[in-house]
Amino acid sequence: MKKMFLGKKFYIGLIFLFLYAPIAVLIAYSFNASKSSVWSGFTFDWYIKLFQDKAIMTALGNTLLVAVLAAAFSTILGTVASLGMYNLKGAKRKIIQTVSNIPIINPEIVTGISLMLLFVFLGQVFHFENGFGTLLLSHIGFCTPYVILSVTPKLRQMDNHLFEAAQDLGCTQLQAFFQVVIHELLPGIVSGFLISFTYSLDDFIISFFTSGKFQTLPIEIYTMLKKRVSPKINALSTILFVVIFSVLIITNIYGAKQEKNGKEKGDGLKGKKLLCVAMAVLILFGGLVVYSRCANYTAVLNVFNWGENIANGEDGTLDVIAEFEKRYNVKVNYNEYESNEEMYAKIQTESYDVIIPSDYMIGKLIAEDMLLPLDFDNIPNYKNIADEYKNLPYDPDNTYSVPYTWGVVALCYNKDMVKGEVTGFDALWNEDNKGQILMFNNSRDALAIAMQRLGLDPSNPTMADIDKACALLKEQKPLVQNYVMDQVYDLMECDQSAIAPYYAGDIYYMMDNNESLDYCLPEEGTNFFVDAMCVPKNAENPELAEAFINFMLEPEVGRSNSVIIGYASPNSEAVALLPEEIRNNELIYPSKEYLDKCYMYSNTPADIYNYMQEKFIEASTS
Amino acid sequence: MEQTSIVSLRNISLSFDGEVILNNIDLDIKDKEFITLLGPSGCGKTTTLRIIGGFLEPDAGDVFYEGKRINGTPPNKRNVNTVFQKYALFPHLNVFENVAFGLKLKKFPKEEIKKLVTKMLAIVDLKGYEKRSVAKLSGGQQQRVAIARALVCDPDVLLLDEPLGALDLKLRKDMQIELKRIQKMTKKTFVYVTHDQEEALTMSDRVVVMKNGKIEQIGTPIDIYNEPANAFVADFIGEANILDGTMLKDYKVSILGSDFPCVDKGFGENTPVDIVIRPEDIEITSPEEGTITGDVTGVVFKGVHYEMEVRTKNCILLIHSTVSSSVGSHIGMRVDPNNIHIMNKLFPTPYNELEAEVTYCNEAENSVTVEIEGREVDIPGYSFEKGTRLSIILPPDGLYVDGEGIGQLTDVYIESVIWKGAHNEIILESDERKWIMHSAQDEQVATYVPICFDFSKATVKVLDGEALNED
Repeated sequence: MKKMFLGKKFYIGLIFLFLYAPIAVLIAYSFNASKSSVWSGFTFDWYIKLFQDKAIMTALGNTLLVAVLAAAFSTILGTVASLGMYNLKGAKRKIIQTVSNIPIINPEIVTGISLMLLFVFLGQVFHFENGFGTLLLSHIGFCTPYVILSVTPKLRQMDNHLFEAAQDLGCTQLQAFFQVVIHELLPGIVSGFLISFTYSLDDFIISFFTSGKFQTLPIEIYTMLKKRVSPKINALSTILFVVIFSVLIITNIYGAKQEKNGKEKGDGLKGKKLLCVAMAVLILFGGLVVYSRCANYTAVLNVFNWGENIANGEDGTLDVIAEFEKRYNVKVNYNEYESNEEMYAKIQTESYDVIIPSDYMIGKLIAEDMLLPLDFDNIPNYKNIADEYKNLPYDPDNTYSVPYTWGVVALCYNKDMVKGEVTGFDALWNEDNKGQILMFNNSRDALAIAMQRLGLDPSNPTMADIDKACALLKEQKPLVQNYVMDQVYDLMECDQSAIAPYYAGDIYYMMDNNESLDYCLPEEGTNFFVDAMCVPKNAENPELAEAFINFMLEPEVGRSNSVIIGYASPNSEAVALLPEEIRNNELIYPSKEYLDKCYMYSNTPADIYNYMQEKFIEASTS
Repeated sequence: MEQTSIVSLRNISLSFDGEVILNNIDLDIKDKEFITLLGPSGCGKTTTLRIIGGFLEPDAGDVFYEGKRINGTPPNKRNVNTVFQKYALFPHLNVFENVAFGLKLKKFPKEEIKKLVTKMLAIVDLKGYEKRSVAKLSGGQQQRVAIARALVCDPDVLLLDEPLGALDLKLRKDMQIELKRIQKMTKKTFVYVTHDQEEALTMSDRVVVMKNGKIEQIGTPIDIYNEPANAFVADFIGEANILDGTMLKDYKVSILGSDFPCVDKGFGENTPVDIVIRPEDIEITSPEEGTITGDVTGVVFKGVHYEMEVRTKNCILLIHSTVSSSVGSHIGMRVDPNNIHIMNKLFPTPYNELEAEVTYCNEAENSVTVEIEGREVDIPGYSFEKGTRLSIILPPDGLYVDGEGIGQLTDVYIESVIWKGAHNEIILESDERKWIMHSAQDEQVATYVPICFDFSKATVKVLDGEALNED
């Protein structure tokens, strides 16, 4: 008997371990002083930084606002709907119930896309843009079925005669509902509200398609994936977990207490009043937040940037957005993306004033006539840009773009682990490093390295070039430990891999975290990339956009951005303000001679790009 | 005692999904009476109550309250209160708040509410229970809260929907007396719904017996018991020997092959009738003195009396007597003419009479196929040309329930089942007509069964009148 008991305990222990280990790790890492997964001491810094991070805090505020409003509205709507359905008979009820459950079964991606299409279509007809309103509507839409699902059983459990008894004693139907029926449904209504709230809180897929420029927390976190997820998110997740966990515990204790006391206290009326007041306060609060965001500025600037690609006031930098808002008395609506392709998809339906795409994407946008020529009279600070970053191949006459950051692809290796000398990309094919080589999990960068090794021009590949490059990648595959993007940080910093190609600014950062790491600028040359600021053709406020670009070129602003982003700045005045060890670092600021050996990507036609994607997946997974 | 009608129902009809629930109900409820709607489940008694309460609107007919038509008036505007089957107490309120609910809505002053509720709780014997949670009360206590909650609103009419159904037997008996006491004390009209005939007889001033959406009989408990309108009422109220008989002439009836004097007249001569003899009305005599004789096959002691089963030549009789005869003894039986109650048959004819057209003739097997209610049915032993119209007389034992569940007619509704001493007399309803069937088997009323025909017992004629039955 005792043995069995122990076995049971062990089993339960295992289950709990399985369920809660990830959360425990998350909580632990939120107190880790280092950004990497190496433990380097206890700190509260991430919590402090979290509350200073305007982007996250705004996204959090947005998310909470939407979640509260969506939950409140869908609770009302769902409760009324389940009452209506309850009063239907037979087949009609079945049909309507099934139909109302479809949003739950329907794949979210389908719901998301169809909502986006609908809103875009309606937006064209009635002249509105996707944003807070459409996001709220779609959240109400997908939350309501959950409310129906949690209220309906309570309605079925309820003695139907209660409603009649109340009427019998003199209630009108409405009075009967509010004085009697609602008390029976309350547990269902409350759980419906909570379910809606949590679903709305963490919804990503539907929000992604319908939020327009309204950034919510899950989307914000997603855009941070371009680099590693900041430990600030660990801190935020910990806070969210603790809050929800305590709410759960409190409701459970309260529920158990109520069960114990029976329902003797007759506090039903009080409870109901409290609920009404709470609802009213929440809706009022929501309204106030929306109102306050609309007030007190003269214009709105919509900026669409990579995730974590601007100075936010940390580490002695300028809070660039806040500074710009203050100086021009405008509101900056700051949104983020995770890849050029995502940005490209989004600007088809949304209008932004400033976007910051990469070189080849700028070429594509110019070719598709989606950018406005800039009036450089409004951008006097353009003079700060060093000449070598002007008139680059993607925008030969420099009419559409102003460089923001630049960098090269280099090699990062572990001095203690790597075998043989590392001088160029050949090292990635070195049999001696078998099983410890990392490779880009990104068709453009991986194929470029292969093509360069084959002596082909990676800037403008043909299908035949791609086939040859893929053959070389297949040859390399047995040596490759893994194809990675941001996992590279953990693997290199924790001595798990010997060598990896990556972006120079990020290699510099990894070397900061692990003294065994070193870098190599491939002797044969490498990819040289630039992200530049552009104004899309459908911008609503191009003049303010130019003012913003000009502002971004101010020396102090440029310095701040460079410190936070870690990539090289094309702004000579800003570079001059940087500490010597950075400004003179060969990795981040390679010499002009070296850059002459490098190539840039150009605008790849869609069919070639698709072919690249397809062939790379085949090569890396076969 | 002069009594006026407080509620009147006129020609009330109601159907749900094509099923008739109430069929032309007429009912007058007198002021301050205790009237009970009695009937098997599905007879429409609760529906009638809900129509009076305003929870249902009839498809046709009028509801009058003190002479005023109140169709369409919502429940909260009717001076009628209901005690629901499962009490329907408000779980989030305590006893006091439950009872005070109606008064609060009527905006009575607080002091007044307190006074009235306290008084009402005293009437239902729940003094001191004010602060208790209703969920923690016993069934009987909940019941009394429900009654207090309804009565405190001072309605003229109190509707009670099987209020004692959920209580155990002992408590139910106590509550029956209690209810009657409350009714007398408060001088209200009580409309009571139950399927328990004993409850109805115990409490009511008048009983309304219902079946299949129709009123079968209205009368005092004594009337209903002693003078049932038909075999159904007799069967439903109390225990009875219901037998087939023939009214030979006025004051003379033939039962079980013997002639009995009786006190009824006006049925005509040689008319088939139903006879009711209550078990306590059969007197046991020596075999020589009895009008009929039989053998005792079973005796059960019931406390006050013995219940005996006596087998006569062709049926089984039930006798209640304070003296017992031992099992196996041969006894005589006698009935006072006053205690023989004669009623018209439930089914208008002794046979099933139908007409059908021949759709196919199989000369090789000497059988014809006719169509009955859209179904092809074979009649063996006959040969007619296609298109011939036939008159078929099928005796009650020419029908049987198909044990294999297929049946020549499916989903036939069983309207009534009455034990006639030797067999069950079953009345069935198919899509187009009613059928009478005799069966040794017991069937469940208000269910659907498949039935088959046994035409070997039938008389088949061509409609011109020429008999072709060889039997």
